[in-house]
Amino acid sequence: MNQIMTLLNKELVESLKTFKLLAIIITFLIIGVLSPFIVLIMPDILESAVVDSGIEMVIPEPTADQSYMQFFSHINQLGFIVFLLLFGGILTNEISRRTLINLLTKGLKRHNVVLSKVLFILIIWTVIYFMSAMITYLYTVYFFDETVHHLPAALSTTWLYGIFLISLIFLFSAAFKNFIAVIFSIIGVVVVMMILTVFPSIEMFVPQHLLSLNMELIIGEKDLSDTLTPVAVTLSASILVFILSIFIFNKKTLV
Amino acid sequence: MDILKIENLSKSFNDKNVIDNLSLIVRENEIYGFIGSNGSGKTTTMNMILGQLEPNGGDIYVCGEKVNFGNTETNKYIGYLPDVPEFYNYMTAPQYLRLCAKLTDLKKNERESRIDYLLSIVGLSGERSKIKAYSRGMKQRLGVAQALIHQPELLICDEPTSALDPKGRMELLKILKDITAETTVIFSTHVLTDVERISDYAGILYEGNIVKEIDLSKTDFGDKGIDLKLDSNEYKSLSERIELSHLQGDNYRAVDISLRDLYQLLYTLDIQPSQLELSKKSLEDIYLEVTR
Repeated sequence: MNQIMTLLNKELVESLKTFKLLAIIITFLIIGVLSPFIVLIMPDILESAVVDSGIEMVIPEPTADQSYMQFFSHINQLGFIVFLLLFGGILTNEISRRTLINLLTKGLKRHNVVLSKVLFILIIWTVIYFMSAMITYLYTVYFFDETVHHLPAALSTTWLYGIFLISLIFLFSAAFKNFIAVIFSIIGVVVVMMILTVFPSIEMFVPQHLLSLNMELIIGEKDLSDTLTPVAVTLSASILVFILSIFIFNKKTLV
Repeated sequence: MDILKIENLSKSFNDKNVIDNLSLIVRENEIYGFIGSNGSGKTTTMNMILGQLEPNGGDIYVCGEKVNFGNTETNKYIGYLPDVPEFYNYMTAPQYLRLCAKLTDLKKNERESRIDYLLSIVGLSGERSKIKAYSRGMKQRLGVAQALIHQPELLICDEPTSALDPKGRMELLKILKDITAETTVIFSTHVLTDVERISDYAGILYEGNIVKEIDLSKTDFGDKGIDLKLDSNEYKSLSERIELSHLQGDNYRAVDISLRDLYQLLYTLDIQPSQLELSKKSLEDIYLEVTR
């Protein structure tokens, strides 16, 4: 435990000194603020775009649903990418730069290296994600003053998908030695999952399904009971992948 | 006491035997120079001692405990200085040593005094700049300090002087020599003068095995021969009686003859060489002999 706490503190200091923490906080702050604002100003933007063209267009009033749709869309398109680019090399950078060698040859346990990094990255992801979601929630309540269905569950599905992606970071970091290989492997898994979600019979068992489930929950098309299978599958898969990562890293040749 | 014991160690990469049935013993408070050419398997052996590389066969014991690949308990006895030590460049030396100390079993109340002591012996006391601003030599000295933070029984140094300038090399060798009171040192190198300067024992690694171990406390490695400077007439008459090998210019070496017999012969032939010297074998000569 002492080793994990020491390394956790080191990770925090490192992310501060390298400005990674600042960058990810700013990114998720922007997502949190921008999502409801875009929905709010979109009718004005559309109106100004068509006003001189003579085209008649019925622009619907912005809603709270759209605000959350924007939020999930930004998290999927920007949030995950920035997060992977900033923290995807958390383990491989140490392997390729050989900075772990000094520490491991003093009796530092390899599984403590992985556990401390997993713990750190899970904390960062959880804090910045829910911080961003909270900002979107507060602005949405302020601007639109209407309730949506199953908001906590909808937010949690995307959070859980993020956990699954993080588990993949560690799996591929344990398997490969460089950051590029990790990123492309994750992209590969995401593409395969996207293909699999095309088939309705297996869609429920693919973590990628969580990303469509969130909006379906918000607009009331799906109920909480519909989340059980994909959540259970993704959670189990994430835990298994984390354990597998530790197992592979324990047997990895680092020199 | 045997600090390090290696029995029949083997390691191959892509069917090429890099280490082949190697056995070795290093005793307490010795400095053991591990000599070999580039690619001879020195670093491979060290990585196996550290449990970072899995051997194909054989056993390694550190302080009597067996080394296991991956998570080996024996690393608590070992301090390791890689050839090019890498640090977290945003830290200062005391911050880095504090991190290392916290990861070991060193008691909390002993950490700061240990850090101060180590920084003083490696000449980095008062150095408060970030590690990224350090020179190669400073990084190497910090590398020694981090390797010693947990008072290891065995310090393993992989070519510690190879990247240093002559001054940095001298400083590092002095540090290694000075710390033998508290730890045993094994260091690999292909710079034989470094080994001669500080080691008690040297092992020559060749074709995956220790082909010769040398006790360096015995400074006399034997004679190479007797070197003489002769003019052409002197050479002609002497070479008719004994075998002379040509060295350079007018210099020749007489082998397989004692000094007394040579004096006798020179007197008989009325030869007065302008220079006569008993040539002693150096570690380099022994290395070249056994790796020929």
